[in-house]
Amino acid sequence: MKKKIYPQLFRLLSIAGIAFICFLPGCQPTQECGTWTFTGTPGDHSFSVSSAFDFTPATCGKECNCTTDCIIQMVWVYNEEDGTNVYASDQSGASARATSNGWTIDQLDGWAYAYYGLNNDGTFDTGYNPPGSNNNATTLFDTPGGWPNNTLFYALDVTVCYKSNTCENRILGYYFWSWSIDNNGNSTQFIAAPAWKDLDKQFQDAVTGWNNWAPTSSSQDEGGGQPVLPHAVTLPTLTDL
Amino acid sequence: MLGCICIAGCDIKSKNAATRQSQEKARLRLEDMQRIAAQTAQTYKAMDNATLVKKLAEQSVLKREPFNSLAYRELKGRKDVNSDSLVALIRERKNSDALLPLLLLRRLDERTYAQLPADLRASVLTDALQQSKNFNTWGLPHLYLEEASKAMLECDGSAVPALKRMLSETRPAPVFGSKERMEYLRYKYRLCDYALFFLKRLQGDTSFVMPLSVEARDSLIRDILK
Repeated sequence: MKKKIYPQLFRLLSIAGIAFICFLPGCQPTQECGTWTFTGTPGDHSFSVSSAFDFTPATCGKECNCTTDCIIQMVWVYNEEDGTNVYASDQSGASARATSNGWTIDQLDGWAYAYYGLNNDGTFDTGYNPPGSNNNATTLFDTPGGWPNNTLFYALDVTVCYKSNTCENRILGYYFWSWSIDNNGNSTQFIAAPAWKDLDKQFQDAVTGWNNWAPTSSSQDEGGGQPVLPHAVTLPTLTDL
Repeated sequence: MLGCICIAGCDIKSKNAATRQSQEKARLRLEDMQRIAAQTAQTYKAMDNATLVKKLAEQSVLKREPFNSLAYRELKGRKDVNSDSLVALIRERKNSDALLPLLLLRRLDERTYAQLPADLRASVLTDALQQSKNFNTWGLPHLYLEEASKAMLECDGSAVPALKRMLSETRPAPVFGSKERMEYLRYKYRLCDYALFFLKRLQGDTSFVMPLSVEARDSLIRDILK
């Protein structure tokens, strides 16, 4: 009798094991209603990035006419020597609005909006992030760098529909990219790939961090003749398309 | 068999096994480091003030930015830090090695900070500027000023002689970061530009805006040096 039970038990455990392993967060992709085209070029303690998202709602079986889409970037920077997250600035509120895990929306002090390339007057700085629309890619440009050796940089790019009659404030896609500076000062790309489940939750936490901080922030002056806003602007509720 | 089935299942969801493996590798590494970061923060939280001040002194010598010094991060939220221990460090060192204690004192105990001789504050701040390798501690003059810059602008004339000497130093003044780095690259900041900015503001030009062009900045520097 016992001899018959063991093979059945083994089969059951195998199936349960397979199900468990295959549904680990790394196996579950996040929303991807289009195509990402990513280019990362390592330099001297730096990494030049072009991260483009071409929105094609049919990719995810949805319908949406988005007249303007753009990218929000959140970053996670870590120094291995100190075993801690590092920030480029205190004035931008980066550490104050970081999640408990160290992710923070990537934005300069003085820029009131969390959208990576959105100026205070509501136009987009095309040097940072020209906006896109259906079948017209939006591209984020970044050149993070300058950190000391043994630094790791993780980023999540999130494309959102900024203007639309039907799908405004919907998330269209997520993309993860990363690079590091090793002990000898060499920069190398680590992993660049579609994001996985859990990062979308981390993103929502970073949005909450931004929204909690924004009303308490000081006046935002990005210079260049842009309007000075009394404080940073909260993000609307952003949900997957 | 188990592995094969699993990878095949993941293929469907993540388009291919290589992507899945990359995601998993990145995710596990991220989780490891987040665990270490949390442990590090906990270790500092458990330290008493005296130990933290000692760490602060060490991290000041290492030229950590205040917001990236673990000791500074922890101490700035405490109410019972002994100002005398910070003053002692500042008086003993008198140079860039005392920057973090100076900035912490300014944040926690304004009255004691104001009682420090202006030339002592200026000596610490100007030496810190001169010794800076990365300039995140100071901010980006055309965009935002960090606390060290605000402290410099409170120094009146005491900082002027040292700042004037820095006007001839054209070494790069890099800033690490994402968009911050791009702004640094756009302006091509040098040490002399930071000195120019502080001198202009200290000499009463409170609305001085840093020119984008290096040539325009050099022209302003020449005017001051005449």
